Amino acid sequence: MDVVETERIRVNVFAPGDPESRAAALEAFAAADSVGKGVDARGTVPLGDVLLIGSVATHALAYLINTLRKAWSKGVVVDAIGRQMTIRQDPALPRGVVVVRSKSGEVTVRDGAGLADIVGNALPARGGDGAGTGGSGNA
Amino acid sequence: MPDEGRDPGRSILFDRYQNPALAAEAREMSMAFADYSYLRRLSGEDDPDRAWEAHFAHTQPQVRRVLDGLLGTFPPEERERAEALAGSVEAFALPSAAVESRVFENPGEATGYLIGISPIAVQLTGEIAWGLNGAHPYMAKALPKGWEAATMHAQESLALSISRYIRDLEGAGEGPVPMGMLNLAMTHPAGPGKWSHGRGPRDFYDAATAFALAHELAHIDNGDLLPAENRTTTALLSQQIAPLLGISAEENEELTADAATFTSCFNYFLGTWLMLNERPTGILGVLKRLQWKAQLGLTAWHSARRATEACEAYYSAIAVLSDISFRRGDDDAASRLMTTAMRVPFVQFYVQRMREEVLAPSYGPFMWTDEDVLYRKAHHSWRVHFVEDLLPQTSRHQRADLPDWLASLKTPGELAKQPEVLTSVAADWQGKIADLEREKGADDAETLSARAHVAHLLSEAQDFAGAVAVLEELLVDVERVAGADDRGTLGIRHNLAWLRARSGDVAGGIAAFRELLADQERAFGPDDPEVLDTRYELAWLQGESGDVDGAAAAFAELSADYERALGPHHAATLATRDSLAHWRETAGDAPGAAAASVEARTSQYPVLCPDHPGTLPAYEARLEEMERRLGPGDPDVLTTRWFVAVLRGKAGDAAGAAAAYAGLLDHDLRPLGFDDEDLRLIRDNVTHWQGRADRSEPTAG
Repeated sequence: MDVVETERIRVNVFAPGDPESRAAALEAFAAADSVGKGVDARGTVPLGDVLLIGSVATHALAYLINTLRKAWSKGVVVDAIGRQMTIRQDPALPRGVVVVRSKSGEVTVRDGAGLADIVGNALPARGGDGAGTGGSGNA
Repeated sequence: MPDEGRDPGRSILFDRYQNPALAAEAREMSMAFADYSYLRRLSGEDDPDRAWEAHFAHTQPQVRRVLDGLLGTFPPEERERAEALAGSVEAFALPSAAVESRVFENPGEATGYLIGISPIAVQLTGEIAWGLNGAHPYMAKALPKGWEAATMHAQESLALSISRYIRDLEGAGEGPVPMGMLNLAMTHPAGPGKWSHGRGPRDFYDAATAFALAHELAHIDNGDLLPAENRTTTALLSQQIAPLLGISAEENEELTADAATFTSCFNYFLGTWLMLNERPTGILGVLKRLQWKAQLGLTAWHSARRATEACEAYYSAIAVLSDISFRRGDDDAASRLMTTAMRVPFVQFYVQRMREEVLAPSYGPFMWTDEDVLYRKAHHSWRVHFVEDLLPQTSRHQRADLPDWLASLKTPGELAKQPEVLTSVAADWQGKIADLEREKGADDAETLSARAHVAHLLSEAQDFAGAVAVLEELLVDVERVAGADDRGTLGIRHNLAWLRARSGDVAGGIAAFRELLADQERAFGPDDPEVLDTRYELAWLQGESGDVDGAAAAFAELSADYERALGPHHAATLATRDSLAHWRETAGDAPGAAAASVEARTSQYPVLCPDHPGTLPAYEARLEEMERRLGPGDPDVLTTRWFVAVLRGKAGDAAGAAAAYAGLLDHDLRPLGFDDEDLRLIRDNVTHWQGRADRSEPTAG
């Protein structure tokens, strides 16, 4: 049987520190057929977020983001500018809004429609070095 | 961040023990925290990968150098631990404007911990520490004549630099990443070579970096990232006290980590000096050894000062960052930062105790002196000035609401005075008294002293009847053990008289104090502090009985007596002057009250700090003199005028503040670095202060 390998990408989710938001992020990872590994940390100032790292199939990214969009109390920023994708809540954005930043610019989404295309376009072309798709630090 | 600077070859721990796999994963993890708009503004590089690479390559050696120095200067008995940490900890500067440094277990394959430090918090801490070091000479009296002018110039530069920094931070995302005086000093052509060890701008930057790193190293060392049952450290506050003060176990761990930074930072500066300056040996090296010992003492003194300043400045920086967050409307960040800023008294107490009880016996009494007390007061005055005066007058965001979380926020001092806390602590002490009676006996001085302490706690908790009951029983025992004229016996009588008055029996209180005064004067003489304290209470009760003029006269006399007996800076002298101001004001003598209040603040704060009453007049005179000499449009004159505007606002001179701000608008302010937004803020200040002047509200803004 031929095995079709799905491309997966490392995603860093900075979930708000409250238990509900963290649980929602873990559920979003699970819904996207992934596991968000929590990185418990201590800060010089009490931390307002908790980092969850997961490896998500590219076709499930939009689903993950849309789940977070609906679960969190404020808007969501998806940063796909660099070699790793980072998702965090932005208290300055109203709930339900997603801002996707990529090398080609910034797109604001107010509902789930079209999110898959926008996220797909935001993903950088992956080279053969495997950068951002696995390697050290992946959960 | 500044350039890497010199590396005195501090230690080779990382060369020997570093785990390359962990280092590689630290590099990857750094990317998870990247804010590319921040990196683009910082580097001017549009390509995100190159911007991140440049940031990592530039900052990593600096962070590593300080981390290596911290580990390399662990005490000899902890050498193995330092070597283990060198192989299991990696640190980097967070590539973002995050205000929180953080530590976490590496989520990747390699075993170890990663520390990401906040460049913004480190930079602002260093800026404040460096700026205040120039703005408040440690021993002004030892400086040559004319030091005031140089100090005032340094203060103006500090205020302008911090206000620029705040403005740039507020505009994050629009303009360049803020740079301050510290950066300029570090990149000055004269270079770091002109500074002695521990005294240059880079040392202030290193101290700020060391504070952040040492805090996170303490978390690793204390096992705070492990399950609770595996934690090993003794918390700064006891398990009995912490809950009473509303401090959670996690917050107590943060306090413990904050306190640990002082010793680490002190060891860092002293230890790196020792690496470069071995003690001379040999039979002919007596003189060199004496010189070395003197240098060691001097270096220890500077090391303690840098470590203390880093602590003080860190909390100032966090208070400023909290206020900026609040003004932006980010209440969550503001609240977290404010919670941290309010830890300062606990850590100050710890630092002072370390310097007095550990360092002074080892190096000499100069490790904590009155100059340090004054310096702390100066720093406190500036910390408040930044948040209460500078930020409101320079921030682009004005916010007047008081959310519930802020309204209900209590300082550690306020928390400690809550009746339920005091009652609970008193109950705890009752248990200790039972132990003391069993171990040392009922008549032992420590047992009797503990009973007096319980009475004090009960009276602070407003349980006057309970306190009187404890003291009346104690008086019988102490008089029997120590005699009627003993200070302890008379002290209990003092407290009983005070409690009687506080319970409502003012006449009874006065009678008891008069009887006590006669006995104290006979036993100790008229200038004894306890005699003066009794006179203080009598004067106060005189006023409460309705003889306001008599109370004012009594406090005037007492004020002179306290100053003669205890000196002008003593807390009792200052309290007496405050009381003099109170009763003069009650008597309708407003000028006299103001004079007494000024006199109290004159002794309370160091010369030229924002709260010293002579500071504004000194700057007014400076402005007049500079204007005459340089002309009104000179940039230095404009800087002084701007600083005077802020100080006038602080002093409640609304019309004066409006006039000073309006005067700035007549000139070109670009040489001061002011842009259109700054000009808008100055116009807003003119409107604000003029409005207050028109409404005749002579209170500080």
